[in-house]
Amino acid sequence: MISTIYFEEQVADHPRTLHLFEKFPLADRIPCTHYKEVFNPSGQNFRIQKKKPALILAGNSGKKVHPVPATYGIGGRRNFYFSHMLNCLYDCRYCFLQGMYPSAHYLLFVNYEDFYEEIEKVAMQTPTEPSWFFSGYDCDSLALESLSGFAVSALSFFQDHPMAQLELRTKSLNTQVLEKHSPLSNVVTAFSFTPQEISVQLEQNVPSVSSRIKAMRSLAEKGWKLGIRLDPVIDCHQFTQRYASLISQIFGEIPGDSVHSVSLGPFRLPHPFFKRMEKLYPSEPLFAGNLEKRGRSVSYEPEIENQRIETCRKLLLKEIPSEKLFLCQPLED
Amino acid sequence: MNFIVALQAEARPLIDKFKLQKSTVFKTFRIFHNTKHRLIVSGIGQIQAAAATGFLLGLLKDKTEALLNVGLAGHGKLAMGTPFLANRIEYKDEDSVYFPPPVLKLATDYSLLQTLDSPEFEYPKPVGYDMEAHAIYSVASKSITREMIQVLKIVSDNPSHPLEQFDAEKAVELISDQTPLIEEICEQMESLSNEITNDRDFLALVEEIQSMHRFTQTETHQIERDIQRAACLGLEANDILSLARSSANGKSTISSLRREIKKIGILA
Ligand code: SF4
Repeated sequence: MISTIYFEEQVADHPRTLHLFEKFPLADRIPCTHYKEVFNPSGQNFRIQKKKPALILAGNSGKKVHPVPATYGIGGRRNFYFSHMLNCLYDCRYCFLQGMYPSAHYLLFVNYEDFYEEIEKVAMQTPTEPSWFFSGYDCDSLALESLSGFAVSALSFFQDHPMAQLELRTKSLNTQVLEKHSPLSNVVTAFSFTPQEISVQLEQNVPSVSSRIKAMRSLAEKGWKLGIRLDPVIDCHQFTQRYASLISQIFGEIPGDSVHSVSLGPFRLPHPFFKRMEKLYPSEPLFAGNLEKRGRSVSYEPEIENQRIETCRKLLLKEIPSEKLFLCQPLED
Repeated sequence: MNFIVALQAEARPLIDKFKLQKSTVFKTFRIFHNTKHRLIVSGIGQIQAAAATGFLLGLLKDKTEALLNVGLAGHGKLAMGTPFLANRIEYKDEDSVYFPPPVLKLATDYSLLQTLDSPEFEYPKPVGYDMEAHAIYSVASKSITREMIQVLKIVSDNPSHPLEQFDAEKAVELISDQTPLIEEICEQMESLSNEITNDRDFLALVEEIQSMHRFTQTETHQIERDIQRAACLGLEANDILSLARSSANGKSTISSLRREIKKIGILA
């Protein structure tokens, strides 16, 4: 699966690096001084790299925990994100990572403990008020678990830090790590969905909607709290029918009390990201369709966006109380 | 597909394989070509290599065209005749290190490559040694998509067979042995290149519509993108053409095309 590993010389002897060298013994190993030498140069083509991404192992020496925009949250007042990994196993055409990063290589920061140290510091700023930490901002939290072992290590940290709340955001069926662990009340595993008809068009390599729902049900049976993320909401033919069927399929199988939160997010991209994505995939109907530039973002026309969000909101409120429903505006206008 | 080689002896097997003809148009460098391939002989060393790369870039139509540097190299570890793709190219202790993205699916060796100002006789490290690749990559990566620049070297000397003097016949033989691999690399690079290059039918359609009306500079870009949008949303080329024909000018062609896009611009 991984045939090339770049590694920063400073993490050459890190136990996680050595473990990955062992796991991929045939991979070509290439040293670099700093991951930016490989990841950052301009003139790389994300689309081509996505066909055969390499793994980059690095140490993150900068700030690791960042505040999330005020418009984003699932009930807490203090919200942060961190990225132990950049880029994703899957290939969703709407994913902003394609517009944000010059490279599609998987960049893994192996110094997880430094992330936990910073998370602990941030959480301790308000010892009596929970702080939320979102992990699936720049990657899928579980899809590459067999490679990163991140979730398994995060669970043991969060188990000891109950005021720190963790959201694992995923489209993966790689839930064994959770299945094997006793449920933690401060961890929410949030699954993202678009209707199956959209998923097959736009979410390459992503497991089917029904298999994700099955994975969720199994976690619910084990006592884990779940999140449902309809984000981004994608406009399409038969919109109401498709989203209604998705929502009823999910709630037909998932017990309501295991649902911690549901969030809805419109499809919006910063204009420069959109331009890059459009250039990468000029024949992609999603980018060719009825979108417009609004402020610094590209999105559906306001009327369409409001209608589609409102439709989903109404459908969801038939299934959950309004306290569990959150509207997320991931990007500023 | 473009090749850059340092020496005529390295070029010969490629000229034979791809049946390339010498161009009589260019005098600065020796250039050989057929309808699909172009080869430039740079001469030895970084200055020659940089100049030839620059010259070659001037002949390219698109920054998605593929460029393969083929040549002989010394190596501290690999056996004579072993081909390898460079995965890291460095020059002295210069900061600019290049990492050709590993996008090809080949069961060949990969190796670090050091570009030097003079031949290496000591082979101090288990890496490759050449005299051009760093300059080629440095110049080419300013214009061409990095994935489309690859460096293939064939080991001509190593600690057990150190470099004595250049043997043109041996060079031809070493490169000739690798022509199947070179062909495979070309196929893969061309296929990647095609994926990120606009297809000919689309370009012809754009050209035809642009010749029907006057478009400002901005409108020229707009109409190209709008034709592409309309086509990928399912509008047939003939319908796009008749829409342009029935429009009074460039501006109104764009407006009518956008009206059509609006009708069909929703995901299936
Ligand atoms: S799963 Fe999420 S992170 Fe991965 S490609 Fe899709 S949208 Fe991007």
